[in-house]
Amino acid sequence: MSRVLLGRLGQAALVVVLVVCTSFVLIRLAPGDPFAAIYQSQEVPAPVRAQLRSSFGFDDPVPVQFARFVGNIARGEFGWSVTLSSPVSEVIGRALPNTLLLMGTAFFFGLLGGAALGAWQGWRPRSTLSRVTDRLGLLVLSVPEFVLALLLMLGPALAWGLFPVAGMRQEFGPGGFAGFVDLLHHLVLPAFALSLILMAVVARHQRAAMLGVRDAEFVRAARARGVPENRVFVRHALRNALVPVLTLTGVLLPALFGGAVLVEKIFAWPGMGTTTVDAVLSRDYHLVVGCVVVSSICVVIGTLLADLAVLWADPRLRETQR
Amino acid sequence: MLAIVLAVTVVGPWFAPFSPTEQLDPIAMASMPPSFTHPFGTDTFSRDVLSRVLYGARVSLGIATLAVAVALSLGTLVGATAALVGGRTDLLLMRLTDTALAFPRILLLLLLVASTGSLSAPTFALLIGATGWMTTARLVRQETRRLLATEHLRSARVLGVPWPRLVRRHLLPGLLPTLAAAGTIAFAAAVPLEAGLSFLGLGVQPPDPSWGNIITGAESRVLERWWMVLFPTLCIVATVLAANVVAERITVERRRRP
Repeated sequence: MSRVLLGRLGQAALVVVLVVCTSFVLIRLAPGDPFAAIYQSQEVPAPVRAQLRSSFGFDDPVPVQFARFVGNIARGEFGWSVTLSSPVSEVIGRALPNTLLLMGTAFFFGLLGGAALGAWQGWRPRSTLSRVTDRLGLLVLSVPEFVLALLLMLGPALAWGLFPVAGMRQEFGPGGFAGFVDLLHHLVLPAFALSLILMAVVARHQRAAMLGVRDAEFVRAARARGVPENRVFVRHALRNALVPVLTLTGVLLPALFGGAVLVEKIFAWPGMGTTTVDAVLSRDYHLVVGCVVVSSICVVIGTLLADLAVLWADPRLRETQR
Repeated sequence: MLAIVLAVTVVGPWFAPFSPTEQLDPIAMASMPPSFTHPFGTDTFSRDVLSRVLYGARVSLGIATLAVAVALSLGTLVGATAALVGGRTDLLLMRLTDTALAFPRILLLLLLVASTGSLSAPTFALLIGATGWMTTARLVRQETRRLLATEHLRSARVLGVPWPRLVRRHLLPGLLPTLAAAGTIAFAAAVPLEAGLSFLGLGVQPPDPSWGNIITGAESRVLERWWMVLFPTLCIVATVLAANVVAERITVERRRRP
């Protein structure tokens, strides 16, 4: 058990190290620097630019810059966001909880809905409704997150005015409980866009897993002992069919995050995705690196937790991997 | 259905009623809703959206195809090497693959785009391909290991068939079905990725049309300009759906085979 854990931890650490190195190299390769982006015109004379560069340490030797870079990240210090005029860590501190809220909600409903739908489909594979929803699932699966988000924006938000189009709260909106309701109201569409697709993916795998255990001997044995059908379904079949889907969670997390980046941007949800994209567009390098490093650390932690959950859920894995 | 999409992509531009970049009349004909002359409407620069969608198909699908080719080559190289060499190399390569899988692809692409400035279409395709080889690598490794254990390949090895010939004549043909499946899966992932990044203004740059950046043309007024969102969107969904159906067919066929 502990060896498996150590292996996973090592892998997670490797991801983080690679991310840090890659981002440093890429930033070094980048053409121009933040000052070229802010002062594009020739209004700022060359000596002033040179002075700005040196005062921000852009002309130090590369190893010195790298050491400073790693040291700063270790202290949670990602530098200064030139476009937002505030420390990167502060910007991320504001954005991260919003993303966690959005992804957490999407993950919760996506997993729950997907597992329930897939389990039912796998249990009753011949029924018409099961087949129809399976086909629908493939259709939903083929809709990229940002397309779904755009369509949701066109329909429910803009044409029918049921939901707010963008942002996370009303400006100068109410506080307290009314403010919370307002937040939920803003959360519905982006979370729905993310969770619907997650649901389709999970449902397909859950259905396959359910089909796998449906005729397994322990299920037939339970039936033969006269265990009621509902109980066979929940206690015997579903419990065993849940493990593969739990494994899937860890794999899906990076993909879900990728979708969240675009969905956030479309609904102007003030999270990590929006921040990262805006930072890339405005060539705000420190902010880009900060966002990428923090996001990947979060994704890696999430994947680790999913792996742990699998080990916890399936004792057989613990035995074989010892 | 995939065949239809591909056919339209190839011959479509010849039927395009207008040039995709020609600004017909930037004042009188900007943002016109669909009509007989412009079935998909016109965009904010008075360009014909139907023509842009048709030409954009070439750009979008061309990028996706090139990306898939890159991903398949890299994935096969990694996967087959891991399976053939085995031992520590195998372990190392698979750890590398897992590590790459654990990292959100879009973040890496965003980093790359940020550091390279604006990209040309082929470079963009290379980047998408270079970040999408992991699934192929795993599938190829698994299949190669299975093939190596078959009677056919074992006897070829016993007979002393040299390695290059073994790989070319005996291994690769056996891998083809796996590669077909991996390719369609990679394609279904590459199309939305290209469209998404172009939509954000980070991929194909205007005035070149791509399914993604046509949508961007609607800017913040998607309701008044719904045709700029709806038509390219439908194309994306149709293509990905077609690819997914093909991938599923292939998987089912492979499973049916002993």
